[in-house]
Amino acid sequence: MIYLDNAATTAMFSQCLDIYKKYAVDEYFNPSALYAPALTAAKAVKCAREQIAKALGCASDNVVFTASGSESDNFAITYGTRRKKGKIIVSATEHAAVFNCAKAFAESRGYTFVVAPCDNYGRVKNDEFVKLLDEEVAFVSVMHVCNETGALNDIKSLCAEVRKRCPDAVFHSDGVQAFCKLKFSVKDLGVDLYSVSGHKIHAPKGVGALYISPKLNLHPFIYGGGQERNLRSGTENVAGICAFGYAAERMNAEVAKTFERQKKLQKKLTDRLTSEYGGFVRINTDVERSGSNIVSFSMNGIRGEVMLHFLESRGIIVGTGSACSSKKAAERIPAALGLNGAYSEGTLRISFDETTSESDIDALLAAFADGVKLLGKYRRI
Amino acid sequence: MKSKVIMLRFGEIFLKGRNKSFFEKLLIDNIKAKLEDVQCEFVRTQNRYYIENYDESLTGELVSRMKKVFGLHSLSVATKVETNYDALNETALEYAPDVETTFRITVNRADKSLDKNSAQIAADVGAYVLGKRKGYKVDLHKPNIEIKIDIREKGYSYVFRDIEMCAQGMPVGCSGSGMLLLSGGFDSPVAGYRMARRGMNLCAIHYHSFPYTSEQAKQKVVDLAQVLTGYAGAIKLFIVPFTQIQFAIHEKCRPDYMITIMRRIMIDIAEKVAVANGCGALITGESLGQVASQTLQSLTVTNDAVNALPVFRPLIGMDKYEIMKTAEEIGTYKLSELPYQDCCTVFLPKNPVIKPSLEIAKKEQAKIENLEALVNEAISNVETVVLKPIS
Repeated sequence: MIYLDNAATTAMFSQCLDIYKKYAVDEYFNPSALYAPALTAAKAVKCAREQIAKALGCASDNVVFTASGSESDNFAITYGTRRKKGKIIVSATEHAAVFNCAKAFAESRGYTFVVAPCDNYGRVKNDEFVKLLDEEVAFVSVMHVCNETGALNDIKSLCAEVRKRCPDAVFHSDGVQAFCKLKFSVKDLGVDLYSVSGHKIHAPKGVGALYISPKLNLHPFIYGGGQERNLRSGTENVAGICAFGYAAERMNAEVAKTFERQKKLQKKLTDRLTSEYGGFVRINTDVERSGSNIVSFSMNGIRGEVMLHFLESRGIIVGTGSACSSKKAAERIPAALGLNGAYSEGTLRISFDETTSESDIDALLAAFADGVKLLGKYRRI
Repeated sequence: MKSKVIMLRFGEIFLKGRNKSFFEKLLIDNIKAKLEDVQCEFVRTQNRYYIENYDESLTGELVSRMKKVFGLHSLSVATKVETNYDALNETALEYAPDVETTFRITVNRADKSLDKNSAQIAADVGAYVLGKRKGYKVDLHKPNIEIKIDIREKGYSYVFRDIEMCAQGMPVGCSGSGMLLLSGGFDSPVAGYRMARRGMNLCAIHYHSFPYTSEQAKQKVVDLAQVLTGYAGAIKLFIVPFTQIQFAIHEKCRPDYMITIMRRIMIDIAEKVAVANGCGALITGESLGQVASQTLQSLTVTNDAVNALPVFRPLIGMDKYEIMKTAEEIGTYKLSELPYQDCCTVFLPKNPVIKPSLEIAKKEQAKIENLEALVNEAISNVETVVLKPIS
């Protein structure tokens, strides 16, 4: 099997499993307990927090562990806003964890919900974004790398514009697809809140983190035993957290090299698709301004799901877009990307990890060619 | 002696004459099948059944199971006590919540050896309850609470209050077997339910069009059939690989007749599989006029493809709203609404014919020269899933 849906989830590092087992089976103690073995668990969490903080470019005090990227997004949106009224702005291609949460929060609390438009590659249109900014803005959320297309938003400059024009606004970025896949620091970006997730970087599912700027003073998201600086109570998922710390350190150490290598694969795939399937395929990923591990394209008249199953029958696993939304009638993203007609249902998302090779791309292209030959006869245009 | 029992009343089979024992045996077998994994005693009397000596914590579960047995009319959770007046008084009081309300006691007395008649016993028990419940008033006509006492002949009585309706209908198995054409939608599971309610054993057939339909779509149909086993007992589900036939239709036939021809071939395959598996009827979820393929003309053209078996369409006169309501009641709604594509929508033409002509349909279908071979191949590659009720 060739797995090319790493934006949905990744295979866990075997070392993560060892670490997980160590803290789930051997050193399974509650880090808040008073006996000596508990201290080992507490130290392990501290160490993992430092590893995540280093990868984020912040102090470890500013990292709060959560149970997922979605939880981090929900925490940020529902507890990050300082102004009691005004506008909440999110970009059009945000993951549902941000988009739906912000919309529901805005509607229930009387904020105005504003969607910042994106270009055909899923990138926020800077000029139009700036036009939305004024003193009324309470909260802004723009994803760092778009999970649908890989589009890279210039968070630093967007954040700077917000600082200039919206004195009370809080800036959040969903960094689930960027964390340990790009070299950056949250301090340099200037954001107030930044969400990350473990299972997108070969750590287990069920663990995430939220960077919270020291300038923010948030209320607790979960009340209880006072863990995570009393912001997110609940006995720490020590095993998951430690495995997450390891994965972040390992991925971040190789980030520049991986980025460069994946860029070549990304370029090769988009070039071949463009040259061989010009009128039939629309490329949704701008290789020049994107992360390195996602290629999205839309076919004219073949549903993405059908090609997905065809490729699956050839042992190649790809995605159709956000795995979290592919089960719903997701119409928001194609519309945001300006996909219409027979293209709108025809999206495939190919996403690499650091083990993806040129031969994997060749195998994908060969199987895709067969798929187009067979399924192309029965296109719906 | 005092214990909880579940009192079961049967419905329509009451009306049967000399065949009654055939229906009753089936009903009892079906009830016992539902109790297979439960330690309890099944007691049969002339006009009622009782589930006795079971773990009382299972009462809710057993009630829920019995409500799905076709052929049962209603049930009551009752208390079985020795017939003596003190015990009847005390037990009746247990069914009288301490609130302000109106009530009556109704007594049915099969044991004629007692020194009081039904009305006297009702008056005495009523007086006892009235004395203990300060907020109670007697209302013989429209009481809020009616406590019923059923005095049997062998020295024991049943005291109960609520009568819960069961699924009614006829015992599954009394009407032979039917082959249900099961898509992933709302209608066909309801059609299967309704025919099982008239006593049919069910087989089901589903058409799968990989890569156009997913494993999830197939699993959804398996899950729907599994829900139906709760009512109909074991179901054999046949999954027919249908992609090659759809390709052939797409290549050879007029686009506006694609759906018509596809349905003709589906029902033809269904009949062949039905006959091979001892089914005496086909069952579809068609409802007149619901979509283009369910107009009178479309049904006529589809029906023509059936050779000998009757086609039962229990939803033909039902509105979508009624169908959805039943789907909710029987527990298939949430599964049916999962948005996985089914094979009927794969090659949906822009303008399917609403009033197809049989002549044109046959002519178009005949363009698929190797249709018989394709149908035989599809049937020989059928995947069979046997589903049993999950307790």
